[in-house]
Amino acid sequence: MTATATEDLAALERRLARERAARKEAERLLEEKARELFEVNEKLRAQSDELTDTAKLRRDIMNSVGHAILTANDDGTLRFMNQGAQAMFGYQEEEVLGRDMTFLLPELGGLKDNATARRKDGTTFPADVAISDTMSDSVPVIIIIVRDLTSLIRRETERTELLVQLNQAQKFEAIGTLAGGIAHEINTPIQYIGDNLRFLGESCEEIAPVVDKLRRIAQRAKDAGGLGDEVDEVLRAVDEADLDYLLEELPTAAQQSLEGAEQVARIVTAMKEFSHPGTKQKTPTDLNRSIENALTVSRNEWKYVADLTLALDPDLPSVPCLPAEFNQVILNVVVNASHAIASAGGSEDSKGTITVGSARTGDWVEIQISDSGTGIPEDARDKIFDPFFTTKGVGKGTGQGLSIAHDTIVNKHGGELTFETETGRGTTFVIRLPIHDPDRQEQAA
Amino acid sequence: MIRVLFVDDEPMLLQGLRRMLRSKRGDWDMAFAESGEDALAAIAASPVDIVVSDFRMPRMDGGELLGEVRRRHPDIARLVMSGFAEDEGILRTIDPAHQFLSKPCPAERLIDVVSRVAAARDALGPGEVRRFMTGLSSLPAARAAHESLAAQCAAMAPVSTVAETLAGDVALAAGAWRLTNSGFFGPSAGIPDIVRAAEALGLETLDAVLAESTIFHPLAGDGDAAHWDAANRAAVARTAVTRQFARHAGLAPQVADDAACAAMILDIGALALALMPNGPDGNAAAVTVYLATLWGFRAPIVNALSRFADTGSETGPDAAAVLHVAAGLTPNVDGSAAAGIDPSRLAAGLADAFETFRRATDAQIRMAG
Repeated sequence: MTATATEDLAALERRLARERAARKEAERLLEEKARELFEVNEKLRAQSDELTDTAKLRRDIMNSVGHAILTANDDGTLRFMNQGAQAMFGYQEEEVLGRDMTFLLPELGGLKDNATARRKDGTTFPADVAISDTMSDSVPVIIIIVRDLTSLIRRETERTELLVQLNQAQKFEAIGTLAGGIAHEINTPIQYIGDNLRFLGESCEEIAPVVDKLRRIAQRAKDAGGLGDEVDEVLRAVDEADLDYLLEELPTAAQQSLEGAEQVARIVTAMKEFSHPGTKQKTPTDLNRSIENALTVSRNEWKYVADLTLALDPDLPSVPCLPAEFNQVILNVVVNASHAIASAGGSEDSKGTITVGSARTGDWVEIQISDSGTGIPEDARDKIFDPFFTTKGVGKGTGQGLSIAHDTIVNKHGGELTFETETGRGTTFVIRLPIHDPDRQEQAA
Repeated sequence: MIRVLFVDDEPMLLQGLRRMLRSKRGDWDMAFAESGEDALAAIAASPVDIVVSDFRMPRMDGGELLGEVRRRHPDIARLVMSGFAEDEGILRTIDPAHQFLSKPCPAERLIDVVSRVAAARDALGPGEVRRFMTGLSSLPAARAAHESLAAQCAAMAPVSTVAETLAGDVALAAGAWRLTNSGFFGPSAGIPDIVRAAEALGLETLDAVLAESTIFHPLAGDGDAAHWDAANRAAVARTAVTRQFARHAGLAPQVADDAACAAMILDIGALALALMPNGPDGNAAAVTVYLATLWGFRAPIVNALSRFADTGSETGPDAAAVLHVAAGLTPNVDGSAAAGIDPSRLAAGLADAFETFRRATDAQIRMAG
């Protein structure tokens, strides 16, 4: 081998080695880039997955919210509604997209706490509406969140109703305690007022013939010319005192006062019995007596506008009843009757009529309370038992009377409370109570 | 002349009573006291037949006063006249008071009650028997019946069940009637139907009465239980016959109720005499009339009890005549045969009804036999 050839070989070998190294370097670089690419890819995929998950979660959240969430363009055209909105309004999303949102929220002029929203079937419900705006792809978007307030309002109403009933019960208990004390206080003076009046009346009757005899003797003495001036004086005194009138009127005055005292005693008894806290459980009750008590204590409410006709069945069986609650029902219905008559123009000159009747029909006792009042307006008829519904002016009614009456008769006694009414002619309320306590029968069964 | 003592812390009330009762000044010797202490002093100074006391008074109230009167002078009849305000207070007067008159009490009612009690006292006459009967607060009931009543009231059983228990025992029935006869729990004028009486009282009241008074109490351990059971059986049977005959004769419900009530309590005199420490020695029928009057039973009922047995005078179709038939058809307490019926005792219409009734019941007895 020549030196040149050897040099050439060595040069070749060096070149080869260089090239090998360069290639190795290139491969290393390639691998490195590929790995970098892979890592970037992986990262991207993870980010993409994460984005997808987040979007799904957002959608799920959106759909699981009980509230309705809608978006609209700034002209009010609907672009999106969540499932809550679909359930709340009864529409599918595709039915509403592109339409103006006012067909769901007709009142939506400005922001309101209590708006009315309309369902697909035309019914409406109270709603709380929150509106905000944002930008999406540089386009303004309105976000509308609607909360259905129906059950919230119902709960609130029930709570208020319960409070009102509780208040009323407490009020009556207080009145009952007071009335009991007053009855005791009043009954003692009533006793001696009555005793004294009776004494006065009887004494007058005893004195009258004696006085008459004395007067006749005086007259005879005068006629006979005896005793002179003194007899004249006696006869003049008799004239001046108007003795005939006194003797005639005194017994009547005593008698009428006695009747008045008896009337006071009756009212006191009625008041005490009416408001007596009574029992917390049902007791057999003489409904006629309860009715009479309620009419006595409410007399001032009706006597100026109505005459009362009573048609109570004397053979009415006693009925298991919560007496205090039942008294309350009668009072409410009677007061309503007198208001209805007053509204129809009843006055002292042209009185209306309230008729109260009781009767037994099979296993039920039926009580009818009729008035010759205005009748119940047609649009109010299906609402009169609703809590807080009233047709009376402010301060006249709380809208609780008939609602509580209904609760008492139907829920607490297993009875029925119905009415018949004719505009301009009057109303009859019919209370039906079972003679046998439904609660007890269930227990026995 | 009977002596009546009125007690009230309101002097004007006493003066009013004195004026109002002026017409009775020939029949009653009236005394007035403004406190319980004064009343006891007045009684100690001069014997009294009847005390009429207010309930609410300072220091010694009406319940305490009448309790003391009963202890010291058991022969005095004891009435409460009060406005009924608090029920717990009333419960304390049940034992010591024979009757409760609610204020305001009309003059007629006061005069009627006092006059009837006075007449009954005269009829029975003074002595050991009257002292014992006036001092008696109530009759004991058969032990089983008393136990049932207590259990039923505590468990708030249906009123009809409780009424059944009351109707099966002379003492319980008499107690329930006594509570409704006088105005212990409201202005009731006597309810001879036991179911209505139980309804009028209510279970809560009966329960409270059981707890706070002894008007319903069981026969003591040494009592003659067999005699009590026999009396109850006789009374229940007699009451049933009374009802049947009254219905058969088509009498008014009020007459039938009164007669049935009288039939139930016919033996209260005999039972009360059996409680006397020295054994029964007295006219059971007269004691029955006395106790019925003292406990405020309605006049027609007392009337029936006093007149049903006396033969020889024809009466109309009243409770006395119905009771005459029923008592004649049912055995006596001691199991002896019925007294029998005097057809001449019955007015024409009732005699016919009795004939058909007897034939019908005889037929029933034959069929049953």
